[in-house]
Amino acid sequence: MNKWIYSADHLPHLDTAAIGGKGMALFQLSAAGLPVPPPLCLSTAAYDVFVNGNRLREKIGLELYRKSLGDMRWEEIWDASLRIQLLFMKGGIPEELEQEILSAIQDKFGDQQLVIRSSAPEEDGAGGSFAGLHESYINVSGTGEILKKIKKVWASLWSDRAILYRQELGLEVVKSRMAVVVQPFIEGQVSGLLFTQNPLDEAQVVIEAVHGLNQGLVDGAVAPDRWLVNRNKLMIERHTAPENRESWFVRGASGGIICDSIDSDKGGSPPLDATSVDEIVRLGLKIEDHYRAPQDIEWTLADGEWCILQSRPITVGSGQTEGDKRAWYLSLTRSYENLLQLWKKITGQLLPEMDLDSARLAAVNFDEMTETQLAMELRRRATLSEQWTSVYWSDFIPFAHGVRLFGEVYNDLVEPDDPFEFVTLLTGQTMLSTERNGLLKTCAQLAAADDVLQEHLRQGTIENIGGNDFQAAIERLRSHFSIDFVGVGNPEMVDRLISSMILQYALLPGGSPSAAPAERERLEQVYFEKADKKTDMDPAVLLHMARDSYRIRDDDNIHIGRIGQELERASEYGRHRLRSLGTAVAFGTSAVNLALLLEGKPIADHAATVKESEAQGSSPKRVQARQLQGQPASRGVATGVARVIEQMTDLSEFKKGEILVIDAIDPTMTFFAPLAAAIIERRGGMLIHGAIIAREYGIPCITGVAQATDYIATGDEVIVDGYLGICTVKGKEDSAANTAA
Amino acid sequence: MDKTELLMQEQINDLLSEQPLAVLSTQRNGQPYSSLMAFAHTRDLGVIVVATGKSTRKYQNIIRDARVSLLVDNRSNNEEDFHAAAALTVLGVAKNIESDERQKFETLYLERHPYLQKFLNAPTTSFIKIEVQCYLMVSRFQNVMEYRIGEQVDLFS
Repeated sequence: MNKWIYSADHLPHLDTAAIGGKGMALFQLSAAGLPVPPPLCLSTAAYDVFVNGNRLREKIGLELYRKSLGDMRWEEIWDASLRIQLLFMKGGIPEELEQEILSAIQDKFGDQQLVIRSSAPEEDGAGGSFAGLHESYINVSGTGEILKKIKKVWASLWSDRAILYRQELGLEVVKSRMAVVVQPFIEGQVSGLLFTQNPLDEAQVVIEAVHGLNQGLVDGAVAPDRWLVNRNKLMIERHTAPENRESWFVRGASGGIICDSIDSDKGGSPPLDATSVDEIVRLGLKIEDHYRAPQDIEWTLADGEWCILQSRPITVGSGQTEGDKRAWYLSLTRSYENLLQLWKKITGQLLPEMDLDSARLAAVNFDEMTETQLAMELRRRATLSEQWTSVYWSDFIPFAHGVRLFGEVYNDLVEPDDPFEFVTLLTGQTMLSTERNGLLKTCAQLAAADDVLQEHLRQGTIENIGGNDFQAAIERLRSHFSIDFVGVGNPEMVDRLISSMILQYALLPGGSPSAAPAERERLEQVYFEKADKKTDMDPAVLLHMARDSYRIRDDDNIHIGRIGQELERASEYGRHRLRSLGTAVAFGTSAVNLALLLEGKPIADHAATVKESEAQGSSPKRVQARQLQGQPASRGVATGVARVIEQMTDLSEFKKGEILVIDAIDPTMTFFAPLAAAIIERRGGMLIHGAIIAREYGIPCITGVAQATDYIATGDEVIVDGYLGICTVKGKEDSAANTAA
Repeated sequence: MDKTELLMQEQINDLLSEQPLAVLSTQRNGQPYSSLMAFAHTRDLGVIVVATGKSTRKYQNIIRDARVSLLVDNRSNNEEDFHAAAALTVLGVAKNIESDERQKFETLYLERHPYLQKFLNAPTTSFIKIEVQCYLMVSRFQNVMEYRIGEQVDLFS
């Protein structure tokens, strides 16, 4: 029996493979006569009809098998997920299926508002819980919206976190399927959760309740009232009120739900009284009896009628099995509200604080310091640098999700042909990296008109040469763009690098980075038209936040690079002082060890650890890559000679028109980008720095090329196809032969 | 031998061991000619042996130009082949099997294709070894890795 749609009457013939875990649980509750909004289930067979009808199966296969899933970074999986989900949204539901869905819904629910929920077959059965990993939609009405939300639930099978979680559980990702539950939307005045057995005290039932709908409670946005009830005596043992009851979730006027402030009348009183607590406890225990296991129940109370939204055994529902990383995968997605808070914190507080710190450090003169003072200064800087690095991970990195959230919303509204069209709306901003590159260009122009200056640059000097304008530009490059940070450990190399860059920049054509303002304006208009009234988020705020997220993702490295540069300046001074005192010291010695040496204390031998990986990574001779696959991160085609950057010193050899092959580009190094004919990066992602800067300058770029730096050698002729993400390695012999011919 | 080379050898050995048939390409006056062939390979990947009737067009082609190419793949002829199938292109030179190595290669060939004994031993059949110079492994739709085992450095120039 492979029907597309089932109601609870079919229960005896069904299993989770057909209608998923949630569908089965709801059918069972309904069949047991418990108060459940009557469910309909779209089976996994319906999912298959949609997927096969749109020939999506192999498109998904090609996305997810481009390289081993285990080798893909989370960012690459997010990219693949975005592409796959857009395929679902752009796919049409085969007519016969669409008719059957619509008539079944019409027959059962008429014109009622609906809830459309995911129901994965593996749910609650694969040693993990899928709770929260897939999408559900509340308060849906109108044929178009209903069908769209069904497609979105199917597509949510391919969210980044769902793919990763399945992979972790060892499930064969590409074979996953999804069922869908459709129920009438019950607009409860009070909602909550109930654990029939308190995990901390088996004799208690736990109830959490909020005014309005329970979405705020489930995702933690609204703090609930909490009751502990003795299971045997059915007596309330304790009631804890939240600090305040300021907000609640209610139905949105144009669909969905919204978080609103609660009127003070309602907010002043607890959502349940003693009688209703008693009622819901009794109902919960009845469900527990039915399943013969403690239950985690979601309920709502609408016009005095209790309604069960979901019930599952506590052991699975709480999802706390050892090694279960579902919580981590869930945390990959940041809510709009959370991102707005981060945005405010980063622009209003963290960035100014960080800049203040680096300016303060830059003002310190070490000449007058004793060795002990210098040691203290080094420790202070090392600590500060660590602190900011930790902030970078905890706040700056998550804020990059602003770009992703915007991408998801944009694709949802606009359904563009290109899943990454939204990036165009974020480009063309003044970023620190493009501003820095402008300064390099200014220096290059000054040098072009000054033979003496050019000669100095060729010798690798930049100090005390050229006129005031030139030195001012150099000074600004150093103080604002952490350009010294690149060559950590060797100030001479930094000067050589900068001078080499300036000479190379003289070869660049004039004008600023390519950008298409007309196209951007057009897309912006489309976005605002489509966003009109259709989203709970303010579309203008979202776009503004996404633009800042995009820019800060690049800028933040330069900001934090200034702190790193200041730590390095002190370390260099420390090394210098130690040498003048007759103490031998290696370039790689850490600031903390330098401090110890300055205090005359011994340090652990670290010489052996400095360059251990040197011998590895040499390109295997007999095995060579002819064609390597990555992600097409910036369009265009380029042919050129590869320059593989294995360490920073390699950068000073970089020549205009070469193809930059690198493990990972940091924004403090992206001044190479305008010189490169193309960029190939091992680290994958559409939104990584190399890709961002390549798009700004209109250079082809491929990211996520596994072992790029192993299989491509400096001097190899390489063809970079930025449309398909393919890099063809022609090798040295071929290019020599071609030149001869 | 480095890890990459060992891994590559293993992948090639696996594919050659799984598949009984290969497409052999020969040419005459620039006209390519492809034929489906039973084959067997040596573990060191240096040699692939095939057998063909002496009157066939492919045999006549090989006599004139010993350079050949083979294609071995594990497609299932379903659409998932695009992400899941691997294809191996082999470039090499066909040579006569010397009498002192005939026994060794015959055993190798008949282990894979016992039903071809009569065919192999017929006086009108030629048993040929292909000395492999290079393998090109295509996987995941667009990944192409090259494994050169012969001395000849550049086969494409």
